[in-house]
Amino acid sequence: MNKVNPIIIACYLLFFSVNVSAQTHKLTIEEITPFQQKIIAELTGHAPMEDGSFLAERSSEKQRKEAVQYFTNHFDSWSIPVNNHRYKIPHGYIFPDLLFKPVEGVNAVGTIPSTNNSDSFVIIGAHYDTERGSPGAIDNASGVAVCLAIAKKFSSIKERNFNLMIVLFDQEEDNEVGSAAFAKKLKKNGKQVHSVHITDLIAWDENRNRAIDLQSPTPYLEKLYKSEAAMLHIPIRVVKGGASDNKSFLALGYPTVGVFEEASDSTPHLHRSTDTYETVNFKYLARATQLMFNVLKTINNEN
Amino acid sequence: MKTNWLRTPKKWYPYVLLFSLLPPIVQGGYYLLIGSLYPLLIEFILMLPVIYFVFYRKKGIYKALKYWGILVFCYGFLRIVLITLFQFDNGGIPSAVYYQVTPVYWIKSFGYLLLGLFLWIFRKQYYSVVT
Ligand SMILES: [Zn+2]
Repeated sequence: MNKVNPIIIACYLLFFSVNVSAQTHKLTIEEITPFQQKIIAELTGHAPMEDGSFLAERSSEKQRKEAVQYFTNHFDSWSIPVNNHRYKIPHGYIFPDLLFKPVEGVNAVGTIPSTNNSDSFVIIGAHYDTERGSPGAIDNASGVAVCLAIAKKFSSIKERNFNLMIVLFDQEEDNEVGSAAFAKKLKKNGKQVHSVHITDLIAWDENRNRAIDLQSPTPYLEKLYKSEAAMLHIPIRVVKGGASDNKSFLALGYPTVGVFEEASDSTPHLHRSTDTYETVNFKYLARATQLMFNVLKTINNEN
Repeated sequence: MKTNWLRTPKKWYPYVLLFSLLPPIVQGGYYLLIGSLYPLLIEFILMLPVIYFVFYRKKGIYKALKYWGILVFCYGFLRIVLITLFQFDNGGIPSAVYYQVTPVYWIKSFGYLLLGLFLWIFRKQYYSVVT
């Protein structure tokens, strides 16, 4: 019998382990796209939900409730602990406050715990509500699909050095009240937040330049996104302001970044009945998902 | 001599006034529970003349009813005007408000209108029941 060279075995084991880890931690377009197609189809009434019903939009209380149940089921299926955030707040304007009941909503929250008892939280978020009369495929089933794809993959990572909180916000279309209520609660609870990554309108690329807007990132987040984007050949443009739920976190001083399709090349179907499944650029969406996932992976390795 | 049912004072009249004071207290209390004081404060300020008339003025209940009746009527009227406008253009209306305009909201709004009218029209009968 031939003697087996221990060096060859060591090399083989090293290669094998690196390969396995690369396989587990790499999120490929082929893996992302069918998953996101299903999510967006079900959230926009393009395909039926599991119970056979169609969710044409996500604006009434009943529709939003169904959407939250849908997210909860997904988190459950990946064994991600769910702790949805219910809020009841004033409208903040004199007539609505005297004439109507307060604003009520639910942010769907799943938290993938760290594996090393870290106190640090990274938050990824997207709003799930839609404008009335719009199926909201790009605004913002696309952002939700990014968060869910990341959640699914991240929950399978063996060594997690921070808690990843996935928050799907309610009522962004009503002055971002859902994320504002959530950010306020987060501040009150004194959680240690590493960074907040918000995505909205992330599936339109008519000029095919693959470019993504980073809105109001901290210098650290800007550098991180730019270096990961370079590896994926994604041009990055940094813009100011707070166009979505990132506004709520920026207002409370959290290190925040908004990840959006280019403002200059954004869906013309915004808030319309034509914001449908068919208008979604799934390849662009998958690249944006890869970018955010790779950023999280780098943060995970840094911590 | 025929007696007109409508013109006969009823013992339950005073309770209608008390009942009509409840909705604003409930609405204000609801907002107070979620940390917003000003709706209750506004409603309390609007109620102050009622308290003043009833307790500190002779024949005050008559004035209180007149004042409160008009106010309740205006409240119902304002609700109806607003939700009627929503039927023509609701583009800028937040969904949190839009979806509250249900048939029940319409019925309640007309209810306020009628309650206000009742308080105002029957203010004299109230007075004779109370005194
Ligand atoms: Zn949006």
